[in-house]
Formats: sequence, C-alpha cells, structure tokens
Amino acid sequence: MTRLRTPLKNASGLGSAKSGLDHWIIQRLTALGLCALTIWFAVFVIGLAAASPGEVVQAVGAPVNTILLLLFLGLTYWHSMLGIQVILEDYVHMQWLSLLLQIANRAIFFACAAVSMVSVLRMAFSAS
Amino acid sequence: MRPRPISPHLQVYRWQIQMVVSILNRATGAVLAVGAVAIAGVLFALQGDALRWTAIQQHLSSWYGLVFMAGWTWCLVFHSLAGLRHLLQDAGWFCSIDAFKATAWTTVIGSLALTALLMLVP
Repeated sequence: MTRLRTPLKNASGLGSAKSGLDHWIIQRLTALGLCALTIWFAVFVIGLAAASPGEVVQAVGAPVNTILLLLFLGLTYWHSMLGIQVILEDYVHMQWLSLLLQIANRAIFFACAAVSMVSVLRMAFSAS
Repeated sequence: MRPRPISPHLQVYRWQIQMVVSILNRATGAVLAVGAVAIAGVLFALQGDALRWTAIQQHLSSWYGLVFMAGWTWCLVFHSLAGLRHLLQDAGWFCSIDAFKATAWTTVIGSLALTALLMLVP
C-alpha cells in the first residue's frame, strides 16, 4: 500500500523526544573523567613496558592501581558505547540492520567491561 | 517509499581545518573503541597466564609493533585533545571562528608533537 503521509506528519506535534539529554551529558562526563584516567593509564602502561609478567600482576594488584584500572575500563567502555551508538545512528539507515548493530554495540561493550574487570580482579586477588 | 533525500555530506564542502578535526575526532574515536576491545582481550589473556606478557612485549617492540603503537598513541592523543577542545567549547570558550581555527590547528600539531614525544622519550 502506498503511504501518502510523510514521516514528518507522524512526528510533528509530538514535542521533543523527551529523552536523550542524558546521552549528551554522560558522554561529556565520561570524557572529563577519562581526561585524568587516560593520562594515568598511559603512565601505568609505559611503566610496565619493560616489566616482567610477575611485576605486571603485582602492579595490577596494588589497590590504588586496581581501583583506577576498574574506573578507567568502566568509563572507557561506557564512552565507547555512546560514541559508536551515534556513529551507527548517523550512517546506518536500514532499520533492521541499525537495530541489529545497536544491540551488538551494547552487547560487545558490556561484555568487554565484564571480561576486562573480572580479569583485573582475578589478577589483583592472585597477586600476593 | 522512494529513498528520502539526505543532507549533503563530505563531497560538497570545501576542506577546512575545523572539519578535518571533526572528522578525525570521530575516526580516531572509532579506532579507539576497537582498541578498547583489544585491551579487554589482553587483560583476559594475562589473567589466564601472565607469562603471555613476554610474547606481547616481543610483538610490541618489533618494527610492526612500534608502527602499531605509534598509530594507536596518535589516535589516543588526538581524540583526547579534540575532546578537550569540545569540552572547552561546551563551556562557552574559544567560540569565535578565529578561535575554532586556532584550536583546531593546535589539536593537529599538538597531537603530532605529543605522539612523537611519547614514542621517543620512553
């Protein structure tokens, strides 16, 4: 059946989307947090460049490092997920593909957060 | 329904530094998102067997490892500086056309200088 109404007809008069501002705000707050945490992470990794495997586990297990690593990972995956979401919204116009990729985006970064954080904690608790 | 018209894209604009920084910010962000997945992979590998760190070190200190790290470092530095630029603009600073251009060039040149520094100093 031919659709004579334009998409604008369906959308007009409904007001704003009512949600979405949180995306904008969280993207910026995670960016702010990552400004500091990324510098720390870079220094941390550069310091481990020549370290032995044992020293790496010890470094990850130092309480301050464990905490900062978890924060860095959490904010990184959150910020990445929001960013990729916007890129998909901008460039993927096929509806079913867009839905699929948006779900995949969330699944991948939630999985990354879980895997990386559990890995850090396992190393932290195995360090003596 | 026939395909709806979409807004004009890259090909219709004359190149200027502001759009270069904007495009590179998104591109480096996408690269870093992939890199972030790789970080999870490395951490998972290390918790299984920390001795794998030795193999990772060997790969990263080879010529292709250094090229890889230089590229990753530049993406990280560029996205950080461009992000900082956006945060300052969101706060209402550097919002004249001249300031847009100046901070954009600072982002590009600063990212190259910082990357060189980070790759050469340690």
